[in-house]
Amino acid sequence: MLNLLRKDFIAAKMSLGMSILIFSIFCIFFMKKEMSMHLVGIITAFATISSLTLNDTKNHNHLFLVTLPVSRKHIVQAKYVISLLTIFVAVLASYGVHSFVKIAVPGYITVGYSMIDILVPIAIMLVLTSIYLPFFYMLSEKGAPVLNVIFFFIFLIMADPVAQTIHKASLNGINYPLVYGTLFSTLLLFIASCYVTVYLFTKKDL
Amino acid sequence: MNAIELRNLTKIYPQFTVNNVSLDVKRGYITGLIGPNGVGKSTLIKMMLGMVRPDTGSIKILGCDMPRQEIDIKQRVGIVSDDCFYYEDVSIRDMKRIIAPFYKKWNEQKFNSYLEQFELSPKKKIGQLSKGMKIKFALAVALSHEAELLIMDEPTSGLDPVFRRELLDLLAEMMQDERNTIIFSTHITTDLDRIADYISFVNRGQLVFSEAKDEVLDRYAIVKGDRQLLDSDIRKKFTGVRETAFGFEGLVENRHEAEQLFGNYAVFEKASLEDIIYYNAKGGRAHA
Repeated sequence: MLNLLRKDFIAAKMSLGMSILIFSIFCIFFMKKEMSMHLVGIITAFATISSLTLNDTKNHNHLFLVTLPVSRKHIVQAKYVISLLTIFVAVLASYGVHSFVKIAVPGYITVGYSMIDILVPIAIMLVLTSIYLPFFYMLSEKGAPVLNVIFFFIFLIMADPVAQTIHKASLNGINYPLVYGTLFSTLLLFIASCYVTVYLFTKKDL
Repeated sequence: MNAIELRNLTKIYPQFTVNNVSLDVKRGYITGLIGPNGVGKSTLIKMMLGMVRPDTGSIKILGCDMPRQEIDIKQRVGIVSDDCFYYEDVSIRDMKRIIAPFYKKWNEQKFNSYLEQFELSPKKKIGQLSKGMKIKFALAVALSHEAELLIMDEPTSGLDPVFRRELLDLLAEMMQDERNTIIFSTHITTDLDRIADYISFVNRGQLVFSEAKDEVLDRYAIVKGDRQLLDSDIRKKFTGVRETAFGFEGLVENRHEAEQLFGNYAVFEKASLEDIIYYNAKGGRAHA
C-alpha cells in the first residue's frame, strides 16, 4: 500500500505543482467571497484527485500496475487512501490560508470560520469521490477524460447554488446532529464505494 | 516440473475466442509461443499475468494458483513486452524508484550495471525512449529482481539486429541457472531458431502443438514437386499447399509418411518455424 502511495507522489510530481497553482489562483481570486474557503478546498481537492487518476490512464498505466506484485484490490484501496488524504490536505490548507489572512489582514475576510466549514467541504468531496472513482475504474483509458469533463461542468453549474445553500443553512442556525449524521453517512458511502470499485476493477479485463 | 500449467483456458470475445487451451511450459527451458498476429498469443500471456480473466479454466504459475496467489507469483516473474506501459512523464531513475520497492529481491547493483550495458541514461524520461530502449529498460527491470520466470510478449519486434543478438545472449546467460524459465511469444521465428528448446504453436485461438523444437522440425517437412502429383486425397495429407504454374510446395506434418508416399518424385526440405506458421495460418491451398 505504501509503495502505491509513493508511486502516486513520484508519478504526479508535475501535476502536484499544478494543484498548488490552482490553489493559489483560486485563493487570490475568491478570497473575498463568502464561500471562498469551501470552494478553494473542494476545487483543489478534485483537481488533484482527477490528475492523480488520469496519471494512471495516460499511457494505459494500469497495464503496468497490474504486473507489479500487488493485487488489484490494493491498487484501488491505495487510490481511495490518497484521495482521502488529498481531500483533508486541500480543505485544511484552504482553512489554514483563509484563517491566516483573516488574522494577518483584519477586515479583508468578513466571515467567521468554524468546524462546520471544514466538515462540509470534506463531506461534499467524499460524496463526489465516491461517485467519481467507481466510474473511473469502470471506464479507464477511454472514458476517464470524458468523466473529468463531466465532473468539471457539474462543478461549474453546482458550485454557486451549493455554496449559497450552505451559507443560508449556517445563517439559520446549524443542526449539528444532522451535520454529523450526514458526515458519517458520507464516510459509509465512501467505504461502500471502495468495495464496489474493488469488485469492478477485479472483474475487468485490461 | 512445469513453470506454467494452463488447463482448459477459454476466453470468449465477440469476434474472437481462445478455445480450451491447455499448455505446459517446462521449467529450466526456453519455450517459444508462436503464431500469426491476432490468434491469441497475447491473450494467453495476459491471462497468465492476470490482466485478462479467463471465462473457464485454471492457471498455475511456478506452482501457485493465479489469481489466488498473484502477489507471490509476480514477485518471481519478470515481464518484457513490446508495449511498455510505464509512466511517460517520469525519468528512468524515478521509474526505478517506483518499481524497486515492490520487489523483495531487488538488486540495485545489477540494475545499474544493466543500465550501463544498455546505454540508458537514468535522467532520460520514459516518454523520450525509443521502443527498443523501452524494451531494454523493461529487460533491465525484469532481470534485476531475480525473476525465475521471464514472460516476454513480442520482445524483439522493435529491436535492431545488434540488440536482438545481445538480448538472445542475455537470455542464454539467464538460462545458466537451471531453475530459470523463459516463455517468449513472437512471430519473428529466427530468434526462436537460435534459442528455443520448446515450441508452442497457437492458431485461431487454439493450441496446435507444444513440443520440443527439434522434434517439431524433424517431423514437419516442405515437399516440392510437379502439380501432377497432387490429387484430392494427396492434398489432404498437406497442412497447406502453395501451387504455381510450375509445380507445388507444401507443408506435411509427417515427413516419414510423405517420403513413403512420394518416393523420389518429390523433393523434401527441412521446414522452418516460419514455414510451419505460414502453412498452418493459410490452411488448405494457397495459390501463388
